Amino acid sequence: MDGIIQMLPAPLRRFSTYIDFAGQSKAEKIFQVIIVIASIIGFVVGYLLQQLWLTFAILGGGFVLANLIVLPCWPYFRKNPINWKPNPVDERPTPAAATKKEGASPNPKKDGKKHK
Amino acid sequence: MHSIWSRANSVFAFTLTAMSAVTFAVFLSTIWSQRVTDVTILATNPRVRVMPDYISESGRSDHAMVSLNIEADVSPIFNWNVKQLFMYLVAEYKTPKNTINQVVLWDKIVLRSERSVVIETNAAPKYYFIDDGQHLRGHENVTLYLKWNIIPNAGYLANAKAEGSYQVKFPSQYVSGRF
Repeated sequence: MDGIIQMLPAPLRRFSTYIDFAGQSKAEKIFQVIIVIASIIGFVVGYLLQQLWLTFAILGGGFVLANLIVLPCWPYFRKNPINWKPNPVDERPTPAAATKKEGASPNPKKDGKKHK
Repeated sequence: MHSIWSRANSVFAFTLTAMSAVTFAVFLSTIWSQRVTDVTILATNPRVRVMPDYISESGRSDHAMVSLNIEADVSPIFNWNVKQLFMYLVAEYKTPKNTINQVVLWDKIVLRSERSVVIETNAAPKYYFIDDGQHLRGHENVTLYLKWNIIPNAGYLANAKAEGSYQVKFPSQYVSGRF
């Protein structure tokens, strides 16, 4: 997704879809809880009303809800940002390098760790 | 979980696993459900004729005909795990040639969404009742049973035989010509 964003025009390129590690574990717990609860509620409702499509409709609703909560990079998942050590070479960015190539620095030591 | 695609993949795979667990639970919830009810079967006007049958050894076979009356209320069998019921009427009898003969005379598919009371009045059999030989004339003990195949949404197909049968006695004279 970040690769696709880099192909957009310049003002939109600053968006990113990462979430940090603490956010990743929160997201995993959240979607597991949502889907398990949706399965249990779906099973109980379907059993009481004896309609199987209700069970799977409730499960599908739980799936949609989990996707809405977990897929976009909400600020809640970015509360513990990673503190990268500054790259000593990059502390002197040149104007020529910024305009020549789009976002890629001529420095060979960089390996895609910049998420600012 | 670092990118949107890997989060989407995790959520989707977990949902599929949860769905398979729910399906197994649905199957478990109907293991002991009712499979059998009472039915009423009546067969009137039994008649037998002889017909040429080039497949058999002797070249001639008995062909029997009755008029069927079936009353079956199968609504207690339907639950959330039953998709449809395939019911069929079987004539079972014993001959000197074969210990057991089973011939299906009529069948019907009853879906869960349709009326689940089956009433057939003076219906003709759907399939030919042709004997393996010429043993139906005067046969006193041809029994008609109604059986069904319960087709589930999750789990194995169950077979059941209804409570209620009818014994047909065929006349000892052939009918000539067509029925």
